[in-house]
Amino acid sequence: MSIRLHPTFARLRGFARGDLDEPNRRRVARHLTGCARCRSEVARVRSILEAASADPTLPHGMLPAILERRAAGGRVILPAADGTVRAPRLGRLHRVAAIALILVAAAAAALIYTPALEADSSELHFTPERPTPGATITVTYRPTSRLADEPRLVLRARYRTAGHGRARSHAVLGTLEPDAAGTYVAQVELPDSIVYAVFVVENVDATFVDHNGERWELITHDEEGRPLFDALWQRYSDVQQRDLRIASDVAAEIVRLHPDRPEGLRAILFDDVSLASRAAADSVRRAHRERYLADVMHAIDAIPEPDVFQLAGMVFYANELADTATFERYRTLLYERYPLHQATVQRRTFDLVTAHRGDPDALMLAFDTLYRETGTGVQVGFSAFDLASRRERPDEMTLWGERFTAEDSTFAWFVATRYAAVPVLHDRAADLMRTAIERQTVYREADRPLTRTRDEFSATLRLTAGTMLTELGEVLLALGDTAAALDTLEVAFDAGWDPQRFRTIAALHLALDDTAAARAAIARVAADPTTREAADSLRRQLGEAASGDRWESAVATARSEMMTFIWQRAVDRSPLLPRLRLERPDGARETFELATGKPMVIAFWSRYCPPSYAQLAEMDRTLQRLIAEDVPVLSITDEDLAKVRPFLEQNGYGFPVYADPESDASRAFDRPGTPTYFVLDAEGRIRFESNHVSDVVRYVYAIRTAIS
Amino acid sequence: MERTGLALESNGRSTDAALIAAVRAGSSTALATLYTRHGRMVYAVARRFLGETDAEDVMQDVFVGLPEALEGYRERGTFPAWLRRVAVRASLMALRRRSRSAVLARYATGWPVATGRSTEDRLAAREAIDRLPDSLRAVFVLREVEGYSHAEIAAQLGITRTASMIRHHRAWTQLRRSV
Repeated sequence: MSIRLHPTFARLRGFARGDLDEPNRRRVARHLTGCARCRSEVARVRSILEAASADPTLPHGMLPAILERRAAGGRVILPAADGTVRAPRLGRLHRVAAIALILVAAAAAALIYTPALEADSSELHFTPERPTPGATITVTYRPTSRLADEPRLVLRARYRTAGHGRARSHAVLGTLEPDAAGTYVAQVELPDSIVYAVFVVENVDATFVDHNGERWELITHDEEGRPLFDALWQRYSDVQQRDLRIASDVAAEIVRLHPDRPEGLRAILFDDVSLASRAAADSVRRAHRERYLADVMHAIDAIPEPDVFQLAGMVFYANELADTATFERYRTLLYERYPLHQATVQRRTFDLVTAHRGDPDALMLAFDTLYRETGTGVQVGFSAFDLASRRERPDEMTLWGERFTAEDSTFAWFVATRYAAVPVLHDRAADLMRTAIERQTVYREADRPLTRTRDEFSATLRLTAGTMLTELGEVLLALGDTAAALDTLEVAFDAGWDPQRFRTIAALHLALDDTAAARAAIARVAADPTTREAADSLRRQLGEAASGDRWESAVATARSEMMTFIWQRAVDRSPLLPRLRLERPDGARETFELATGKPMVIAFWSRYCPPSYAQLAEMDRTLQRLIAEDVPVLSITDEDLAKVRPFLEQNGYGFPVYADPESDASRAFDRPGTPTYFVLDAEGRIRFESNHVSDVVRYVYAIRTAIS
Repeated sequence: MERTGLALESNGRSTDAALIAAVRAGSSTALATLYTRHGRMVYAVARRFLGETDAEDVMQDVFVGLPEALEGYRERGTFPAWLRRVAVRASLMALRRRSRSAVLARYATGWPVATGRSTEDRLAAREAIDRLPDSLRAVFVLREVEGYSHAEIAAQLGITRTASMIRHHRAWTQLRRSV
């Protein structure tokens, strides 16, 4: 399955009519040379337009009839035809033509795996265990049974390079070939630039990824076998997005192994302060000042040429410690030695914000001066743009929006949504949104997240495109370009199942009085078990059109579309254990059968995993709702129940929680990451797997419907 | 034989202006000349909105009513453009008169069958246009053939501008599906 970016129908139609402006005409023409599908669409439009304007032959015998009627005194009152008289159309310029986006819903392959009851966990090793950057390593992989019969396997990595770059890249590092012992082996020459990597193994088509919860990590070392600072720092940045406990261990390791780096200290300080109460925060700062600050200063001062991040790190660390003297000392050093570095510009931006607090005009001027002086700065671009949009100054917004996106084009969507809030900038918002959609929704293999299959990534892109297109549609409607908006909404409507998006689309069609389209969208909202209630108010707005046979059949259609969408995501495999022995909240052990004759939900979560933490409130609502509907639910935490219970009580979460002291659950579900939600069928087979709790109710509903 | 000293174009034909004056004065010869010049256009316009029989009726009506209607012709634009506009309005009136449930007249004949590769496509397209519901076809033809803006279409049909856009969009969607 792939997403391909095509011109919208409105634009192809404009091309066929010959009324596109020149840049758009060239763009479409370029696209047409490589796209048979759009060529045939253009041909179709042409034949429709030709047929529409073809002149029929004049029937015979008309003139005598006319003259006879006149002669017989026949009179006809014709409608008045005054007003401007116009020539038949020769071509019309569409000021705004909708963007190139038709999502190709190629035959969506269902993700169906063969059952594998006897499977066991896979292993991955590499030698040497402490490679230097650029080393050749031997990777050995003992496959999970689901990959055991493959002729060869692909070793893929998410890697980070030296320096403080935040970019994460994905690359295929090598091909694993089977050996006689049933393991797979590859020799991999690591690129010099890679300091840290996370490995996964997948089959050639990338329909199955063995990721081991992203725990196969490679950390580069120096010649003495000490982990490189860059490797540790990048590991910290990477792990921070998955597990804050590991991240804090890594920060401590940096402090221990690299006493001249303030970054680890800063990270620890930040965590400690944010976890502590206000009063305790001060004592945390004091402890840092007394215990660490002198040591790290001493270590840095012993280096003849500290690098920019050491200096910038000290500035931030001292700032957070409220140690003015140290802060100013290192700030001076930083500005003198690295005047044009991004880290310096970032710091100077913060200085300006402090200096001009309460005087936005002066601050804006100062941003401009800084930008002209340094000619760079994501930070100054962002701060200035943010200030401009809070002030709702269109001229400032466009100036900084352009500078900011020129600096880093990945911010295009962010800037566009801010433009969209200001009516005079709607034109620009639409243009920028199109650019962003074109860039962000194209399938690029290098962007595929490490643990995702190709189908999963395509599906995610489709959903993203749908959301973005809906926002674009809103802007186009506000602009009055209804034709382009309708085109855009139509594509958005078909871009995967997302009831929240259908709600927005329905509201837009309601505003347009487009009853049929609104009904179709509302029917989808009503068909989805997670948004059924939301559909009611929309239905009321639709009035009569949302009742009777036509409504019933719209809902039936929507329901079957939803089922198609859901079952395309289904899997079919057995958990690796038929029952789990878990620890109950009261401390006792209990054994749970996985085959319960009903759909069952197993949720793996962790409050130290940022994505999982972010879903806790929704998870609480969802799991409680399912329990109320008599669905067996096991929510499994990765820490001691004694620690997690007070946390749940404090936050008012009521879902029951179990611990996995014997790792039964982890083994049964093959070491899932967090958050992962499994939905089992009546026989206890895994039918759905998701990282989003919002999917779970829908999956349970699908299984229930299948059972009944 | 009427004698109406008509002004002539350089090719020896009388000008539309001269014919109009003659028609206003009651000349049926001049009316016949206007018919031979513009009848095909009027019929084509009507035929795009209506089935064959209704289109013939509209064309007849336009020419029967023309002498009186010309009273309202202010000569601000070219005559064919004015006449085209009359034809459009007359067709729309006919559309409005036609009961919604009326089965459309058969559209089997009357369209030019050009030779060449895309003939079948165009025939299919023609049939698809004819199969459009009246409400969609009216907007489609006004927009794509007559070149009216959505605001003008809205005024003509007594609908909102948005409704015009939606119908236009629907018409295209339906045509793309069936061609």
